[in-house]
Parts: sequence; structure tokens; C-alpha cells
Amino acid sequence: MDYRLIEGCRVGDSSAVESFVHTYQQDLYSLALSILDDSNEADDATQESFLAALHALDSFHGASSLKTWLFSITVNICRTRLQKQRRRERLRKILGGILQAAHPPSVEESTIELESGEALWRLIHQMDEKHRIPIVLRYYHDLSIAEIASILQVPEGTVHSRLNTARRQLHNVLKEGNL
Amino acid sequence: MNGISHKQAVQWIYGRLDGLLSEPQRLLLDEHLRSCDSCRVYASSVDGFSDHLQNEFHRRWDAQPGPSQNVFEYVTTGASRIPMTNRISSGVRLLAGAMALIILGIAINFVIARLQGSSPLTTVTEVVERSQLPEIRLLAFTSDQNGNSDIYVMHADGSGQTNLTNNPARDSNPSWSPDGKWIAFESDRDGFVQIYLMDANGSNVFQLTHDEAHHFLPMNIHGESNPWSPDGNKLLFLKQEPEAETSTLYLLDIKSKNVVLLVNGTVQFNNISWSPDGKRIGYVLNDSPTPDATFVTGLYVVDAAGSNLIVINTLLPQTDVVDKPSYYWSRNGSSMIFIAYRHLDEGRDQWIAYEAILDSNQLIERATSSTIMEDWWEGTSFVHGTDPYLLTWLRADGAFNTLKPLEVCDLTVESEYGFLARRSPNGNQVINIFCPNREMWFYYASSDGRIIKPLLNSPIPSFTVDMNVTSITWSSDDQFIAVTLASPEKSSLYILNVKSPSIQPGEIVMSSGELYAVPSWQPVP
Repeated sequence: MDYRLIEGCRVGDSSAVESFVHTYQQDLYSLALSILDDSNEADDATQESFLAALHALDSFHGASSLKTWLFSITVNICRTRLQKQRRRERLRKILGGILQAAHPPSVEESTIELESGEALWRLIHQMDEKHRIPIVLRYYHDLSIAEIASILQVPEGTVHSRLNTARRQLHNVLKEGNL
Repeated sequence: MNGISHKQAVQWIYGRLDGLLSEPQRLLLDEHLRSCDSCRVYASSVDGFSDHLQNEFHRRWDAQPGPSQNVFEYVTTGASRIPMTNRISSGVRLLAGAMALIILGIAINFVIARLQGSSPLTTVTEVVERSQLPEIRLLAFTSDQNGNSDIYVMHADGSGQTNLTNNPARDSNPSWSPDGKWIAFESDRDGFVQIYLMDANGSNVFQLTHDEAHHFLPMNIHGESNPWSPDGNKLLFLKQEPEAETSTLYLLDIKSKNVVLLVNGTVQFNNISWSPDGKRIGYVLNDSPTPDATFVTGLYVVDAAGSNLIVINTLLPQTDVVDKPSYYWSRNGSSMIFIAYRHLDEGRDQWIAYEAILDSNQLIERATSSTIMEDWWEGTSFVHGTDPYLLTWLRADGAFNTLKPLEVCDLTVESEYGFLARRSPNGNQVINIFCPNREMWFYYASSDGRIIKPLLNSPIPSFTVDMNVTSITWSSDDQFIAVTLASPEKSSLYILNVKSPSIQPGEIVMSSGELYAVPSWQPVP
């Protein structure tokens, strides 16, 4: 862990901040993208995460790695964005087809256009975040159960249990689709 | 019988995917998969599914170009204002904190004044002092009920639960020293899993390993950590480089801090244990020439200086193979007992109990059986009958006692059932029976099978469908047995009292998820 970099960011050293952003922006963006599945939303979540982390650097004491700590912040920000997305989606449904025609394809609609794995992706997007985020962290970001537990701030057993629930659902879809 | 059920195998397949299985559990799973076609197919399907999921994720997101340049510019511009706003807000917080402290101080003074004269709560020190009486000895166990894995102790009756570690890191795998004064445990509080010591009330925490690698306390076949030399002066540990799957076995002298490399080379160790006389260490390796092939049990013994390696398999006749990765020490530690398997002509099989005399490298055939022999202890063979659900303790004079464990179950209910046995270091056994209606029973059997009795007047009822027994741990004097159960929703601990069978033991919840953690009994002086 680069403590000089952290200290530099704490006191507002611009070159340290640039180096900090440069080091972690791809990881955080990739994480945000895998949760939000929208590149614009992922951009916004990434910059929001960086600013939140820089504000809170004094509370980082190195109990976990810096990357795990940043992931934890980003996951929380993405969750908040997902909740907002859902509220927007509900509103859109209430308004009916008026906005529907002008709205770009939703995540679910665009996944249906995929040549393969349609059912799988539909199910992934239908899953609640409690189950979807651990699956993404485990299978896309290749994080251990302990790391996921630390990011989500839940016991490791809970992570394993949520993964099992999600895996069984996805596995059944794959078996049914013979993929 | 010491194997696992299909249901447990399916759960462990997922546990293996997440790297949560202990070495003994992985071995038991491998053993089960070798003999169960449907489970093997299922495991293969699960592995294939995992690969498919990974590929799908990478296919979808890897091609994305990455964050836009705006992110970098927005953050670096916005960051310049942060130190000033932080200074202002910390000033405000400081002021608010000071006021809160003043109010809190007044409130505490008031409460103390009100409580004077009332009886104090049991303190940790009292808990430890009381533990010198055998009835209230302590059990150390891992729990994440507070949201973080910590080490707790409690009395055998379930009272006096105390969190000893109280640390935001993951603390686990406690193991009592032979004198019952210290607890060794694992913690990742410095970023790597390291070995620590603390005294019985959680104070005087002392870090024993420091290298930038993971360090683990070795486990026996039942997942129990017993790294302490019988005199309590030395401690075994495994060192594993980050990302590695293999490890190296070391012995640490606690006072001098001298470390001895016991086994040169990094391998996957299984079932490591001290001989009761403290002279030797036994362990199991996979002797298969190719790592992914069927597990071939290799039994090894090395002395505490890391020399005089004995490869037990080489003492066996060529017709015999070691049946499973378990072994027992004789009471004085001079010999090792294990079961071998021999395939005879005409499709007949034979199980043989061997005692390896370690000073002379001599192998003595103690008993043979034409049905599966689980183990042999001081003249008594413990075998399955021709009916696999009949357990028999067969003594050298031909006399025997039997138990039909499933007789307590209502087998008209269509669901899974089974039983398993755990031998104590003194030779006695506990038989765990799980019935189709989800009730669970426990029986005690003396080492020679002459005393067989239920440990419960009524079963532990209706554990959830996915609940499995994850460990059964005997206290050193065979008076208590700690049983842990795990399910995706909950993991719990029960304590059975061999001398006073209880109507129903109390449940101590260790986790609101699936926790694989084996407790450790404080030894009786």
C-alpha cells in the first residue's frame, strides 16, 4: 500500500491525486460498469466514488487494502444509483407508453438482443442486488469470499449463501437453455 | 460411515468453488466424488457453469473502452477543494464531540451512583478462574454473529459467552494450549493471515509469525487444530505464499522463537497431528503421481527435529493400500494405527488394522475384516456388518456389541438419512444419526463397545433442510462433545454432556450464514 500517495491526497497534493485517480480509475470504472451495466452511469459513479473516497481518506486506517476500501465505497454508490434507477423506472411505467417510445432500450431490452445467453442475462438483471453484486464480484472481478465480505460488510457465510442462491438460479437457467 | 451424504457433497461442491473447505473437507469431498457418479457429474456441471459465467461477464464488459477522460478531469479539479472543506467540518465535529463528552460524563456519573451496591456482572477474570473446575471448563469457538469473525469462549453449559478478540480483522481457528492458559489463533489483522497467542481472557495478544505470507494452524482429519506440542512449548504452523495452494510445515519454539523447517518443499498437507509423547508429527500427503488424479493416501511421520522421516506406506505389503487419510496414535505415542485395504481374488475384499511401531519401523497386523473396518482400538475392531447399517464393536475374544443407529428413525418418511462416527483421542465414540424427518440423535459408545447409550432423551428437532454437521469435537477427558451445524441461513453450536445426557442441549448461534469453524475445548489440568 502506498502510504505516501495516501498522505499526499490527504493534504491535497495535486500530483498525488492525479496518480491516485490514474491508478484506480480503471478498476473502479470496471466495477461500476459491471454493477450498473451502463457506461455513462459507470462514469458518473466512478467520479462520485473518487470524490467520496478523497473526502473520507482520514477514516481509512488500512484495516483492509486500499482497493477493497475503494470497492466498498463504489459498491455503495452504485447501489444508491440502482435505487434511483428503479424509482425512475417505476415512474416511467406509471407514465405509460408516452415516454416508452422516446426512451432508449433499457438494460433488459438490450440484453434480449444478445445472440446468446439471453435468458441468463435477463435473470442476472432481474436479480436483486443482494444476489447480483456478489456474483459479479466473484465471477467478473475474481474476488475471494473474504474480500467480498469485506466490501459488502457482511459475514463470509452470508456471501457464500447469497452466491449459492444466485448460482443455483443461474445454473438452472443454463441447464434449461442447454447453454 | 466417515464419509459425507449426497446433500452435504452438493453443498461442499459450492464451498469448494468459494475456497471455503478445509483440507479434510476437501478430502472427504474428493473421496465422495470418486464413488458417486451423479455427484461427480453435478460437480463437473457446476464447474462448467462457473467457467461459462466468467466468460459471459468478460465477453460483455471487457470490450468496453474504459472511463471517459471527463472522470479524470472532474475528480482532479474537485479534489483541490477537499482539504479545506475537511478542515472546516473536522472543526465542527471536534466542537460537537467535546459537548457530547461532557454530557456523557454527567450521565455516567449518574448511572454509577445509582448502581452502587448492586451485584456486579460476571467478569472475564472470574470466568477464567471458575474454568479450573471441570464442570465449567471453557470452549473457544469462532463466531461472526456480530458481523465480524471473532473468537469467543463460553462455559460447557453455554453461559458466560465472551468475545476475546473484538478486532475488526478476521480472527478464527482457536486452539487451547495443553495447560489451558493460552489460545493460539489465526488473524489477518496485518493483511496476511498470521498466528497469534492470547491468554485465556483475551489479553496479552502476541504475534508469533511475521513474514509476508499466510500462516495457518494445522488441522487433523476432523478439521480440529492441534498445533501445540504436548508440553506446550512448541507450535506447528503452515506457511503459504499468497496465491499458492501449497504450504510448508514449520515448528516454532515459542520461548526462543527458533523455527525449524519440518518438511522440505511445499505440498498440500492433510491430517497433521502430534504424537501424544511429543516426539513425532504425523501427516498425510497425496501420493498420486498426478495432482488431479484420485487421491492416494500417503502416511508420513517425522520427528520433532524434522529428521527421521518414516514413510508408512513403504512398510505395507504390495497387496495393501492405505484405506483413507486417517490414522490414530497409540496412547503413549510409540505407534500409529491405520486401516489398509486389500483386494483378494474372486472379488473378495479385506480390511486390515495395522499398528506401525515407529521405533523399529515394524508393521503389526492387529485385525482383519471381510466387511468395512472403520478403525481398531486396543483390541476392538469397529466394523460395519454385512448389513451396512449395523455397527459392530468386535473384541479380540470374539465377543461383540452392536448398534443399529437408524432404528431411532422413522424410515417411512422419504428423505435422506445416515450416520457418522467420531472417535475421541481416548478411543470412545460418538455416533451422530440424522433421520429422514430431520431429527438428529447422538449415541455414545465406549472404546470396546460394551457401553452404548443415547446422549439425548429427545432428538435435536427439525434443523433446516440444508443443515449439515460440520464438526464433532470431544473434550480431552471425553466428558463433553461440541457439535457444530451449518446451513446457508444459520450456523449453530450444541454441547452434549456424556455423563449427564440432556433432554435437549441449548443452541448457540455462531453465524447467520454458513460458517465452517471447529471449536476447541480447554484441556482439563
